[in-house]
Amino acid sequence: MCVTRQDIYNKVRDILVDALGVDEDEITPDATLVGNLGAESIDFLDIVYNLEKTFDVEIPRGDLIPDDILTNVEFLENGRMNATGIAKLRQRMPFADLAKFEANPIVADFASLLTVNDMCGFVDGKLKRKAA
Amino acid sequence: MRWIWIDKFVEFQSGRRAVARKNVTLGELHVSDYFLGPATLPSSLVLEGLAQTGGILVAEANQFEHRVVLAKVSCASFLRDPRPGDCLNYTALLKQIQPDGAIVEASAHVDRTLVAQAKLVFAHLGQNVVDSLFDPAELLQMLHLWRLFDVGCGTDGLPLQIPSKLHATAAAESLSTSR
Repeated sequence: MCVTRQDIYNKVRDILVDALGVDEDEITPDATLVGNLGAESIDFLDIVYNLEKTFDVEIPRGDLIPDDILTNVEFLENGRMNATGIAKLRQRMPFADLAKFEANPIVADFASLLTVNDMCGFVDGKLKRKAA
Repeated sequence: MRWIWIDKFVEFQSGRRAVARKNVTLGELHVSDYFLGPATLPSSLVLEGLAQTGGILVAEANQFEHRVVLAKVSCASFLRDPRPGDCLNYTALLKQIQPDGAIVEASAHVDRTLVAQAKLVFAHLGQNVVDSLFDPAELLQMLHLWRLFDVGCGTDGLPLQIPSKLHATAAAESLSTSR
């Protein structure tokens, strides 16, 4: 069965409404999960679990937010990610628009840049790999 | 006074599922005096019972190395008020566990009637918080009172053992207070 990007968006929106207690109209493709929608770290556990159940996919830890890269000292210089680290992130997160992060790669701000659209892209990629 | 809202465990499968029992009695002030009108166990205390059942399931899965707190009630519904004389069975299913927390789906039944259900998110506390908030000896005493080791089985299907770290810490504390 073909799942359209709009189907994915609608389901992701419903998950975020439930998990974050926000109104449906607060959720836009460009809304950031942490900055605009107020997600806290523990909410990601809830959100990822609901994504797995709703889309019937497995999401291992670090798939959505690659902690292993973000905490690897090889890629960090004074709290900022170096070019090698950013290249690794791009490889692991083809679904995310990293342009903003690349312009000012402060690692502590990374999670707050993830948008609803990025999350839809993440799910889209998962479903395509599952169908392949 | 302890804030305990389960009476005992009746089933416990490490890392998978726990069932705890709560008998509702008219002798509890929270039941008889909380609302005007019919005496009932308030929904908030049913939720607390579900959280205590799930919290022990999560903590045991990590051998009580992390202390566990209820971080979030993702959803909850209450279908019927438990009344004095009811025997509540709280069932908690561990759906996911990660280094930073866990997800539990929990339900409460009286006989075969579903009276409440909830999805709970637990967080693991850091070690610095653990030492100041929790007393291992008291925790171990509670686990015995709840008969956890009478009914529990480990992931290997064998009877649940007292986690060595918890046992050692409790024994050391007991020794130091007796001096």
